[in-house]
Amino acid sequence: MQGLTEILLLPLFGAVTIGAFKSLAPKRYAGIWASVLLVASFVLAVLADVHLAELAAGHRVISGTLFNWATGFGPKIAWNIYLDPLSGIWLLVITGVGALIHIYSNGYMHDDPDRGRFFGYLNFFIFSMLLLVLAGNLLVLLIGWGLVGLASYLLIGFWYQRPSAVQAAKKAFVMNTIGDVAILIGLALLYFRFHTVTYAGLFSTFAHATPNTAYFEWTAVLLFIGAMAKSAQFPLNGWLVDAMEGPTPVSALIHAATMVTAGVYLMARLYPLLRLAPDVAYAIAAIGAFTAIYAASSAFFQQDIKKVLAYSTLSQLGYMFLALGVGAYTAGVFHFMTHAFFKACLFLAAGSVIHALGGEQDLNQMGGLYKKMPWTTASFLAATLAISGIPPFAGFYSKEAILGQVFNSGHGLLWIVGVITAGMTSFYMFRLFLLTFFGAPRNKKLYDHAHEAPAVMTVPVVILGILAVIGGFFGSWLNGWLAPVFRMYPGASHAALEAGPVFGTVITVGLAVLAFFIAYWLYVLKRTAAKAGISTWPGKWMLAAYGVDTGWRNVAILPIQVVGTWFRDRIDQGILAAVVGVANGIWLWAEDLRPVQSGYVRRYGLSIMVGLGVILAYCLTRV
Amino acid sequence: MLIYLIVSLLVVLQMSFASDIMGPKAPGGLKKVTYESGIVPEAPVGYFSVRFYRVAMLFMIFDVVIMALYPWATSLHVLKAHGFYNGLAFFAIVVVAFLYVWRKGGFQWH
Amino acid sequence: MGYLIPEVLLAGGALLALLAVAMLPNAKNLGSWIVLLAMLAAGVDAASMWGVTAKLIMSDTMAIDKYSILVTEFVLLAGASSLLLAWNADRFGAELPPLMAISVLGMMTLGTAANLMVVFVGIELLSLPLYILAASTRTRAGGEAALKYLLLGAFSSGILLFGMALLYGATSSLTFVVYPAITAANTWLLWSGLGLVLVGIAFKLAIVPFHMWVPDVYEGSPTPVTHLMAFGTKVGAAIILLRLLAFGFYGQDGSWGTLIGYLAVLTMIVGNLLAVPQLNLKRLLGYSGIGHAGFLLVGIATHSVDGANAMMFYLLPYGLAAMAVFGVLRLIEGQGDEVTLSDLRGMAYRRPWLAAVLIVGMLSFAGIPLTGGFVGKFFLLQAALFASQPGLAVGIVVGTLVGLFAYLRPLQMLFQRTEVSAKVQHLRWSVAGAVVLGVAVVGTIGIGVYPAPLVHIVSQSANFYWLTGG
Repeated sequence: MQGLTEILLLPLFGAVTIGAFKSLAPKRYAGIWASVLLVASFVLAVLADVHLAELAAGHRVISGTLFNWATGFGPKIAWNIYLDPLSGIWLLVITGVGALIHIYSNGYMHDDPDRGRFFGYLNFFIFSMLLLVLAGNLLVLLIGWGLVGLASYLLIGFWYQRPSAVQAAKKAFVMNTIGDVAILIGLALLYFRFHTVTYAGLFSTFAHATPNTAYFEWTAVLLFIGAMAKSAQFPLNGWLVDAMEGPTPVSALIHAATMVTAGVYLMARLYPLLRLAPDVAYAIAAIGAFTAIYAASSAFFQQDIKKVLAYSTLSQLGYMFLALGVGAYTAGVFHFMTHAFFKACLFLAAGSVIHALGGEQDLNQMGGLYKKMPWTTASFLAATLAISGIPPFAGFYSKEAILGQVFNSGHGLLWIVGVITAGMTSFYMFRLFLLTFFGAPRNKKLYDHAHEAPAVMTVPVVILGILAVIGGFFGSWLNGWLAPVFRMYPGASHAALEAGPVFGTVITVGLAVLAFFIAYWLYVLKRTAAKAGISTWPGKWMLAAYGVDTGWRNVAILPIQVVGTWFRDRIDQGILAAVVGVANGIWLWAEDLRPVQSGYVRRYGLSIMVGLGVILAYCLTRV
Repeated sequence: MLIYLIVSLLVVLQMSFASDIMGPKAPGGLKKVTYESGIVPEAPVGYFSVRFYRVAMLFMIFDVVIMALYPWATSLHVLKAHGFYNGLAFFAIVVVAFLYVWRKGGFQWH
Repeated sequence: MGYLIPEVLLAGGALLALLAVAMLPNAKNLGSWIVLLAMLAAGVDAASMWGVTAKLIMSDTMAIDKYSILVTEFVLLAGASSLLLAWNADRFGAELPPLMAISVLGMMTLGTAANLMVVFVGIELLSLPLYILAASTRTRAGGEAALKYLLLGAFSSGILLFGMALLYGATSSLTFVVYPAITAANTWLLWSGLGLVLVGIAFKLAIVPFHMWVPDVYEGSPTPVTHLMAFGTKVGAAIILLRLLAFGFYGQDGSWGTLIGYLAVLTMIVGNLLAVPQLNLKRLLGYSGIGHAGFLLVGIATHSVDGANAMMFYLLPYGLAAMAVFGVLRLIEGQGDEVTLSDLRGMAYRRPWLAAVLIVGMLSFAGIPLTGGFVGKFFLLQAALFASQPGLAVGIVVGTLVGLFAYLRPLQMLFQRTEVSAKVQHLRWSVAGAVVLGVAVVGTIGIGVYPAPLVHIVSQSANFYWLTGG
């Protein structure tokens, strides 16, 4: 299978060996070993993709079966492995960006006594993510999906000594579980209707199915809920910001570059299903656009460097869903790729800053760092320009591709939201950049101790920075590469990359540049403090992301607590009391069953008699 | 069917409650005395020793087992060898139980 | 007659062990060894009969087929694991091994039963030793458990027997495998009898609303005995219910299928719901066992080969998970009989391997992917949906979700770092316990990752419809 098994198993092997030997071998070997395995995995991934490219355009699929999972009851289910151009892109990004982040972590986690565990988890995450992407059927995908959730849970709570980290991990786990269950049900609907879960089998039935039936709408909704939970789309977005409690490389790898895009992958993978459920497709686009603007506005007043980046991740994921919803599949994947480059770069550079300031994440303590950390500043700037959509940086091309197709497909309102969000993105990103690296140092002591990160950290950041600069030029290549995947079905008319109207580009770029100047004026010329405005009415709301978290607590968590308490207090006794109440009236003679030690045996007996009466009555009505 | 059910239910209820409702009630007095074959019980009043029950129970068990051996013995000419060995197997189980009770001191009063 | 050799071996082992206990009271573990060897021998012999062509023996009262052989293997696993959990513990009394052997013999009898009388004998043979075993530590809680179990068990046995009498009256036959040929007429006598028999078996299987005894009895009984009740009794009751309904009343599924379906949904939801607030782990497992009985009923309610397969399949992952959890409980409890949630505190750090075993077991109970429990629930869900019964499917999903809360609470305690509970600190491993836990974990994960062999075996054994028409 062209090394797919090896690609998949190398990280698992790493996780197992690190887990087994972490207390025996010297601590630094764990990181080196994990990185080496991942680089090997990346090389194999490149080879596999090269092999894929050599195949004829219409047959670019490598598939195989690891082993049969279950045969005998009903349809056969196997551990299918499947590589096509779409999973090929994810494969490259996961192993490539993953390898860079592994190398970076060797520096970042250098002083942590528990490094072995960290790298074990990290390798395990890569394995799970690869399983998700290389899965040949939805069941294997779901298993990978569950395992990345587990890895994310473990890594968010990596510093389990912090109560906030444990709390954040729990929250992520619960919200992801909602999504997992939704996917499971959606998968069940598909499986029990078509008796297959393989992509090939499903797509061939989809090709002849009637669109717009309730069945497809429900299935698509359920799968989308799963994607929403994993990709933190509104209203299941709360966990992603809290997930910043994990170590920064984790935020870069899992909560920016790879895992949170699993929802994008799922929707892109199942695009024939979206064709059959146009209403859901529109809902995806609308939710994506709303999340984009909602998260962008929430980022305006954040005080924590990582939280700004978290909200920007949410916002960019919103763009990807917007693209998928309007049918611009290639554009969505393109944005995923560039986003992986510039967002990983941003997070890692932010990690270098945090590292240099001894763990400080508050923007109010930063400023003027460009003199001390030139490489980090340059990379961060490149990535900021990319995410703000300034040409010719990577984000410009992918964002333009999305907005162009949104406009072409006739979604005017969503297009306006997307354009405004682009301006807002530019503002909060430059606010972040300027507050961190420019202006006067706000904390002299921290500033004096700051220093450029070691090479092991800087090199990956710079590589990602370069990718953030040039990533946009892969567009036309990507267009051709993904063409066989997305043009198999009628209805995917906006799948390819197409330019939008020129005035759109002008407006978008103009807004971004304008936003940059506003940020420059506010935070460099006027030297506004980071915390300015957070006590005002809109600032307070935006800082709290409009109270969505509190809303969840009131809507979902409190009632469960109330019901749980009620159950604990009442039900156990309450059921007994109810049965006794009914039964006492009917069977007074049951008093004779007076128990010896406790008052309950007779009630248990009564419960049996009540059940017997009901069952007999039921049986006799059947005659 | 339904009528049948209702009627039977009514009959049951009637039997359960009629005596409660209509019968004379005379609580207390002799009703509280232990029933001992119509004779006024004599001392000891109170609980019998649990040993009494144990011996009675063991007696019952082995008594019934021995009783089962009689019809087996008298009909051996019909049962032939197959029945003979089956009976022996049964008897072996009883012997094991007997040995167990004996070794555990089950036949001793103290 | 060679078909009953496993039963004869086990009965002989029980008698020999009883004799050994009486004659050589100072020989430590002698009874346990005898019973364990008898169980192993019975298991090997039963396995060697796998190629048997299905047939009725003993004047058509017992059926020997792959179904009965698989049941024999399951209950022997339950018996052997219970025995190992009680290894070296004098406080349970020397009579524990022979009594367990007799109880397991009752379960094996249920596996072969083709006649109502045999069903009754099997159920009583299963229950009577358990009444005694429940009180084998001679504690107050144990006595209470035993007395409750005895009273209610006798009560339900009476109901069962009454139902059998009515069935006999309706069909003039006690051999239920010939019922499909003669029960074409739906008479009220038949249905009253069936209803009563259902209640009798449902009591043993702990179906809501016949479940009330379970938590009290599980809590009071010694842990190995609780394990035997949770695994073995459930297997015995479930498989006889399946054989009786899906076979004896093959043609009338429209009547009992819906009823069993309602009971299944009720049991799944109530059992798992009541498990959530429990603080005592054995009570929690009692309610969880009730919930799992509901899952098992789903397989029966669908009345299809898929359903029968799925139910048979589910028994093993359930039993293996029970082995894992009760095995860990047994190690934690030490000289006591009670384990509360707070006794688990800090185990993940102090005893990581043991905690890992508990996690595997609990996750399998909860039905998390890559454990056997997930595969089992998956097949049940598949059976329910293939049989076009979405209500059952919804019940499975709701029950699983509620159960998730119940199983995650103990796991949460494992990771509490604030203080390590005294029981965890003084915990001692035992070889026998390690064997049980090893088998449980390997089996649970093995079935979760690669269920194909078990699927193959089960799909051969659950096809017992060959006898139709006698």
